Amino acid sequence: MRTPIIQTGARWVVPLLLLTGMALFVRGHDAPGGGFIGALLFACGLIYQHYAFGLPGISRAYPSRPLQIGAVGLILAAVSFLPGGWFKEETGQGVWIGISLGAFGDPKTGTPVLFDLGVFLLVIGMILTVLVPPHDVDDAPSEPNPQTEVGHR
Amino acid sequence: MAIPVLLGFTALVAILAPFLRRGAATISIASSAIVFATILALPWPVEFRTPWIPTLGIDFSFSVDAWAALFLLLISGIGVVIKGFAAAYLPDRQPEFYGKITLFELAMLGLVSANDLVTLFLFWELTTLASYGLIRWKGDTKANKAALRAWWTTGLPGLVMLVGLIGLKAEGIHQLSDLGGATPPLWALICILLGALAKSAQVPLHFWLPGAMTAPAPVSAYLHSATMVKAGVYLVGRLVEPLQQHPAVLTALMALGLATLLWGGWLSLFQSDLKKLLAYTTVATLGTLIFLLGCGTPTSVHAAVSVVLFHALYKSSLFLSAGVLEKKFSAKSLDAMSGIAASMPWLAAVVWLSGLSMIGVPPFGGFVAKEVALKAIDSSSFWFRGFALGQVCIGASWVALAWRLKGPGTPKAAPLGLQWPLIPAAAGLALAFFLHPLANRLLEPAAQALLPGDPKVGFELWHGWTLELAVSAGIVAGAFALGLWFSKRTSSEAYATNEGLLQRFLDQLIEQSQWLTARVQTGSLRRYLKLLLLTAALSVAVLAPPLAWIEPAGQPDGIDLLLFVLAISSAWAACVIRTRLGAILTAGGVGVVMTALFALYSAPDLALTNLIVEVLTVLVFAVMLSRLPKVFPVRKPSSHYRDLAIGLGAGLVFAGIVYACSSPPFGSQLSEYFVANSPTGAKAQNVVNAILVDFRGIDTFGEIAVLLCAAVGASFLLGRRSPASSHAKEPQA
Repeated sequence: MRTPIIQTGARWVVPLLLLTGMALFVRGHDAPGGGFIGALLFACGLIYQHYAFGLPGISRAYPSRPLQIGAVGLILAAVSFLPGGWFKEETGQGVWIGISLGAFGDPKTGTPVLFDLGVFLLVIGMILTVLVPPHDVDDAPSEPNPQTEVGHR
Repeated sequence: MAIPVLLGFTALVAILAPFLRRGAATISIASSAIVFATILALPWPVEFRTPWIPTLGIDFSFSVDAWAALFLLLISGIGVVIKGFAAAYLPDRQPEFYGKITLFELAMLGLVSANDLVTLFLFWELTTLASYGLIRWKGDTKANKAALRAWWTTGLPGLVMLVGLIGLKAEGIHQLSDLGGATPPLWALICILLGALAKSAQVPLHFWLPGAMTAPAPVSAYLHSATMVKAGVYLVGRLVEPLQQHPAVLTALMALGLATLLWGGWLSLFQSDLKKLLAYTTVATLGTLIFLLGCGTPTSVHAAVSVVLFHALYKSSLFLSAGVLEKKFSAKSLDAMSGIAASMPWLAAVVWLSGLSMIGVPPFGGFVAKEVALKAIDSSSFWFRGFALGQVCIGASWVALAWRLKGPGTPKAAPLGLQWPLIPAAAGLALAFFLHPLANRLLEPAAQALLPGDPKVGFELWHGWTLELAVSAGIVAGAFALGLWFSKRTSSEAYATNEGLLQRFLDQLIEQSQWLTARVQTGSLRRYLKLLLLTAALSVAVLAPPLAWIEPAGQPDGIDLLLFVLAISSAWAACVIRTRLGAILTAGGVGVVMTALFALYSAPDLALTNLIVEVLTVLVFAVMLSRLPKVFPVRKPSSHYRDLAIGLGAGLVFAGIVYACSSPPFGSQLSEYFVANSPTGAKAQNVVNAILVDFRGIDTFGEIAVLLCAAVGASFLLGRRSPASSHAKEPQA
C-alpha cells in the first residue's frame, strides 16, 4: 500500500482534506456543510494518511482511541442540551453567546455548534473504528517499502 | 415523609455495608429493626409524593396502606431474623453479603410501598437484579445457571408487565391508587398479571424457584419464602378490585393457582433434597395465594392476607432450620435426617412448631388462616376438593421430613447464633394468641384495602364445630397418613425427575435453536442480504395500506432522463460484470448519479454527503478486494434468477414507497416554519443544518448514539481477526 505515488499524493492531499473537513464543519450553519460532511472529509484525510504512512507513534494507544473520540463526541452532544435548561425555559433550546473577534468577524458560538462539534467527533471516531481496525495500526516506519516500488519487478 | 426517609436510609446502609469491615452485620440488622419499628408505629395509610417527570405523568410517589404495611413488616421483621442468622451462617465475605441483601431489602420495601406505576416497576426490576446477585452467591456453575434461569424467567415477563403498565398510563392511570376510579383496559391488566405470576412462580413458570435453592439458606429463606416471591402476590392483590369486572380472568387465576398448588404439592412429596422440598411447598403455597385472590370474595381476600403473614413466618423458620441442618450436620437430603431430634432438640422443636402451623393445627396461626380459606371456598365445588388435596400434599411432605428426625443420636451443643429460626416459629404461635389486636390493626385493614366488604367469618382461633373444622382435621389426618407412608420409603427411589424433564426440555430447545441458527446464520453475506430484503419488502408490501395510483406532477426533462439512463445502465453493469472491482465501481456509479440528482434538485448537503460516502465506500471496498479473488465464483443460473427476482421485487416495493411518499398532498407548514425561523431563532442560513442540529437535535442525537453503538459492535467483530501479516500488499487493480 505504501507506494511512492500514494505517499507523494498523501503529502499534498491529506492536509487539504483535513482543512477542508474542518472548513466544511465550521461553515455548516450558513452554507452547505456541517458536522457530518466535515467529519467525513476529515476522516478521509486520516485514513489516507494511515494507508500511506501508517499512524506511527500512537499504535499502543490506538486500540481504544477511536471509540473514545466517538464517545467524547456523544458526551459533547448530550452536554449541549443542558444550557437550554439553565438559561432558557426548556432543555435543548439553543443558547447563543456573542463573541466578536474584531477584524476576523463574529464567529457563531452556541449550543448547536457544540452539538455539531459532538457530531463531528463522533463520526470521525466511528469511521476510524470501522476502517482502521486496531490490528492494522503499527509502528512501521514511514518510508516506502522497497519491495513494492513499481520499478523493481 | 417517613417512607422516603426509610428507603433512603436503607439505601445508604446498602451502599456502605460492603465497605465496612466489621460492622456490616450490625448496621444492617439495626437498619431492618429501625424500619420495622417505624412501620409499626406509623398510622397507616400514609402517603408521599414528589413530581419526577411531570410531562409523562411520572411521580416518585409512595402509599402505605395496611396491605403494604403487612409486607413492609414482613420484609423488615423477617429481615432482622435472616440477617442475624446469616451473621453466624456465612462467616466469610460478610460485608459483601450484607450489602447485597440490604439492597434487596431496599428493593422490596420500595416495591410494596410504591404508588406510581413507573416507581413500582423500577423497584420490581431492582428486586430481579438484587436477587440475581444473591442467588449466585456461591459462584459455582450451578449457582450461576440457577441465577440466570431465575433472571430470564422473571425478567422477560417483567418486560411484558412493563408493556401493561404503559398501557395503563396511556389510559391516564398513573398511580396504583387511580385503579379504583378508572376502568383499566383488560389487556394491560393481563400483561401485568403475567409479570406478577412469573415472579410468584406459578405453573408453568415455576421451575426457577427450586433451581434457585443453590443460594445459601438465609437467602432462600428471605427471597423464596417470605419476600420476593410474594411480590407477585402483592401486585395481584392490588388488582383484585379492578378485576372484579372481569370474572373470567379471576376464574383463570383460580385455575392457575389450584394447578400450581397441586403440582407443587405433588412434586414436593418426591423430593429428597430438603431445600427443594421446601421450595416445592412454597410453590404450592403461592398457588394457594393466587387461588384465594382469584376467588375474589371478601372472605377469600381475608384468607389470603392471613396466609401471607403466617406462611412467611413458618416457611422462613423452616428454611433457616434447613440451613442449620446443612451447616451443623451436613444433612441436605432427607435420608440423612435421622437422629437429629435427639441431637438438637431445639431444632426439632422449631421444625415441629413451624410444621404444625403449616399443616394447620390449632392453636397455630396457620390454622387460623386455613379456616378462613376453607370458609371462602364453596364447599361443594371441586375447587374445594382440589384445595384440600393440595393442602394434604403440602402437609404430607412436611410430615415425611419431621418423622425422619427421630431416632437415636448424641446430644450436641446448641450452636450460638444459629438459633434465630426460633423467632418466626414462635411468633407463628404467639401471634395466634394475640389474634384480635393483630386482626384489627393489620389483617382486617389489609383485606379491606384490597377488596372492601364483609367476610363470612372473622379471624378467630375457634369458630365452633363447623364443616371447615372437620375438613381441617381431615387435612391434618391425611397429611400424617400420607407423610408417614412416604417416610417409610427411601427418598432416593421416589425422587421425581422433574429436574430431568425440565433439563430435557431445555436441551431440546437449545438443539432446535442451534439448528435454526445454523440454517439462517450461514456466514454468507449474500444470504443475509436476501433475507433482509425479502423480509423488509414483504412486510411493507403486506402491511402497507393500499395506495392509490398517484398522478405524477410534471414531466421529466432531458437531464432527468439522462440520469435515469445512467443509473439503470450502471446498475445493469454491476449485475453483469465478472470482476469484483468492476462491480464495485459500477455500483458506485449509481451512487454518483444519485448525487447528481440531489445537486440538481438543490440539496447540496445531501449531495455532498452522498458523494463522500460513495467515494469512501468504493475506496474501502477496493482496498479490501486485495484479500478476495478477483472474479466472482460461477454459480448456477437458477440461483441467479432467484436473486434477480428478490432484488427486483424489493426494489419495486421500495420504489413504490418513495413514490407514494413524495407525491401530493404535501403539507408545507413544516418547511415554511423552518425556513421562516432558521435565520432568526436558529441563527442559520442553512436550513437543513439548522433542522439537523437545532430544531430536531434530539432526533440527531438518537441517530448518532446508534452510530456509536454500531461502531462498538463493529470494533468487537474487527478486533477478533488475527493481526494482518503485513501491509506490504498492494491492490491488484
